[in-house]
Amino acid sequence: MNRWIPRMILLALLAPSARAQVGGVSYTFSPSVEYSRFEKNAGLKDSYAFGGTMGLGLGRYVELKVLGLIGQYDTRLGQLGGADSTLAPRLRQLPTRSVRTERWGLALQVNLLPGPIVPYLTAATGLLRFRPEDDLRASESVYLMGGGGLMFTVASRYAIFAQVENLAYRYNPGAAFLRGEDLNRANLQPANFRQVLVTNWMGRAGMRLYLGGTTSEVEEGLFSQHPANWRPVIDPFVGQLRFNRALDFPSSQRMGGFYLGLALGPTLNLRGFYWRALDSGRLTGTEPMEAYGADLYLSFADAPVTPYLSLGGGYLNVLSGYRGRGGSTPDDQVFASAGVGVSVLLLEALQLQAGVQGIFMTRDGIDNRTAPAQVYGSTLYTVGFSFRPGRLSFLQPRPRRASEPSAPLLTEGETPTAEPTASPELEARQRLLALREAALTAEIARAEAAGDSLLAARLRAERERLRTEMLTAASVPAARTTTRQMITLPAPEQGELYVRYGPGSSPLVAAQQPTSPAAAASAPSATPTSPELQALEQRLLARLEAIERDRQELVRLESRLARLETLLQQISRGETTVRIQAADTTVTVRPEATPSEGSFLQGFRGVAVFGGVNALGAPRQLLIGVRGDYGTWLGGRLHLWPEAVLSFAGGTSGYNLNLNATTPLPALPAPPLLNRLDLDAEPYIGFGLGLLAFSNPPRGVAGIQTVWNLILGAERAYGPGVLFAEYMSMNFFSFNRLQIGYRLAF
Amino acid sequence: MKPRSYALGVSALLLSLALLSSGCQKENPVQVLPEDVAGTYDFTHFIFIPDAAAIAPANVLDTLVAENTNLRLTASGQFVLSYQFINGPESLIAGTFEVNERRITLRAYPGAEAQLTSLLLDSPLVLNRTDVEGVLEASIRKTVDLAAFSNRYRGVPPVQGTLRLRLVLRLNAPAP
Repeated sequence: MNRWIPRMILLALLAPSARAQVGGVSYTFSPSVEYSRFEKNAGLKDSYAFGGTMGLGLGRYVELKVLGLIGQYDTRLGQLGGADSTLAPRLRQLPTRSVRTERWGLALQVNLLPGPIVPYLTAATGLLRFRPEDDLRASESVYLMGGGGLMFTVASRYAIFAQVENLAYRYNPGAAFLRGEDLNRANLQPANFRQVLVTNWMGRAGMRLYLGGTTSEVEEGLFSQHPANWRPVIDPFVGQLRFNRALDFPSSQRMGGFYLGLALGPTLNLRGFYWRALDSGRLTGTEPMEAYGADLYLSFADAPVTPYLSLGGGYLNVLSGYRGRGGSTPDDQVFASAGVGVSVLLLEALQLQAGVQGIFMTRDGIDNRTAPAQVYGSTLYTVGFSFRPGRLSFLQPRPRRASEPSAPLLTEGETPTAEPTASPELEARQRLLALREAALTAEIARAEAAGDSLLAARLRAERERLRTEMLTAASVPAARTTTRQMITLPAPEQGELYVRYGPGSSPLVAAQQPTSPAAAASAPSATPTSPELQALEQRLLARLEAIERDRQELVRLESRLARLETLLQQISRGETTVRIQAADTTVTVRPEATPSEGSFLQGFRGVAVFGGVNALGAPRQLLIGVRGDYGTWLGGRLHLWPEAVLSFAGGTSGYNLNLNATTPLPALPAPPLLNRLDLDAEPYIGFGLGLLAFSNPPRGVAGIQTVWNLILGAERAYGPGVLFAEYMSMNFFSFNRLQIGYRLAF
Repeated sequence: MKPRSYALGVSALLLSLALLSSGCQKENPVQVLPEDVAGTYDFTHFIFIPDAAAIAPANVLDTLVAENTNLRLTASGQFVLSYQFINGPESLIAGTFEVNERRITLRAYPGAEAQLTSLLLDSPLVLNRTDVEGVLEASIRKTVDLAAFSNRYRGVPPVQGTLRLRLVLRLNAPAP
């Protein structure tokens, strides 16, 4: 294996044109192996874990992934810290036990540079579950992970990577790995162990495959902006944190703080945060508890009112003097967070935000039989502002030095037309910017006509930024020619040279002009005056608007054509009743089957039945459910699915009501080596809330509880309806469902 | 497009945060309980040695009734320091204590400051656990007004020195 690594690196270096990174939205699959190196207090021997990630590439620089790793380790309790000369021999009497670990979570990767060798940073948070052998109960902890690595391009869309990461979590070795009989035999007791934070360095390597997206050099899309276009983010807030009763914290704590970060695109922010507990009795007082961490903020649209989703994690630091429930002193906590909210545009660069977050923390275990460590959710309600000041223009690429002169006589700074002024990529980018500028101008006119001055002002500001960007991009070749005042002259074998500088006219020009028309034609023209420039700009704008109108019409026609093709395909299969109405076109097929607009099922568009299993957690059950299709919101971005689920087997019966919302993801492309496989599936991701009850709750599971759902699935038309398959994680991987179902439209 | 400076800056920031997070904390998962050190401890050394060689050491133990001077640590995490100066009444100082694998920290309840001063002690009082089981030691640098402690030191101003303590766990008598 040692020979392969340098070969791969060499291959990456010799193939600089290959790019594993892709722009736009892509899918990533990444199997990997990890060498887990635990610190002494982790109580586990070093070994390997296997798994990988699956996720989305949001442009060249950001990747969001679901992570899963399974490991098998032996306990090593004799080296735990804190034992004195009396306890140390007792610790060595404890049995060695095999422990299976499951690590589930969300990981974020930020690629620092483009190219065949990509350094990157990564951070993750999620659930770490310990499953010791000998029928001990599973313990859970929330973990944080951060690190960095290098990714080497092996071929287009394939890469190998190696990374180092630090895994941090809190746990109690006594409650996680030992039972009462073990403690009694060693003359120990549960109180001899307590929850501690452990940090472990891990090394991970694997392969990464990118599907979808674009490998072209032109940066485009919401998530592919150059770092110079990123904007700083400042989000102050106040809120109320309602702790779960299972934790030692007070039932409610007022919080305040701020988020600082970067808007990597119109809908994607990466933020670090600092929270501080506030004194509820005073306006300005604080209490000795703080939290810090980072999150990923995703908004569903770049609009005046838009919902958002945040995913992150951090560390809750309980300072000296803080009092929890019943006067107790709570322990520090590692936590993960997932939240939703709404953002309202007040002014340019200023938004009002209100949201709710689930904060997931570990309740310390007391002993394995009665109370192993478990993860519980608390709720943070927040309201605040969001500032988005200007772009990070200082990161704009600096003008490059001109290349070697190609003409016999080249005067840098005075020959803008002597050679091509821009690369094809730059020209394509300029065209794109010009089209966007024209589209914005049309939108401003429409907003003013509609009397929406707020939207018009916002669009105008956006257009100004775009124009600045256009000028900056256009100035690159110009700046290239003015950086150095240098003249390169060939040394003639015979002849004469005349060089003059400064204002005034050349006596040679006056002498040659009447007798040399060719020279007159090649002489530089006079500089255009300001009115001429304005007229030119007006003509250009008019032309751009015409181009934009043509383009929009083309897009509309293409969209209509695509819809017609889809419907014709359905008709050819004899599946669906179709009715289309557009401004200038009406197509009606099988009008006898057209649904009534005033149906008694107003609001519901369809119904689905599905079945599945609840795996990777207790209780292991089969489930069946029925799901309504309640249509879409936000222009089709959010689809609402109320559902009812009945689960059985595993010694209990479960009842579950959910309200889920999903948003479509880009179409899943066929893997490069499996082009013949036509998946034709439409993936989606979702979030939901619900109630889950058990008639005979298994050990460690509440009889009735609220649940948070994370959904990842795909669907495709099949027969008269739609076939779908999905994975649903409830309450942060406490329940994991695999479901398959079929949906029929009314 | 080579924003290397930005890449290096972000890398350095995150690396420093990672090192900070891995290095700033060290809690121990195993804890010694109060009951593991509970018992009655007798003073074998209790002496203040001034830095100035010209001033004689003050042996506190010589001024106390040995059989009525001891430290009791309970399994519930409380302590009672019993003492009796020669020709004086028997007195008690109470408080709580914490223990870990290296030391025992005694914190007296408020109001005992004068009593502690008479014994040349302060609160909190940290006793180190030695390799020998049941033996506690302390070596405390402090300034002591010896003139207030004994008439032997009349006219001596407060002096710097080291207070040395040694306590040994009293073994229970074997059952008959």
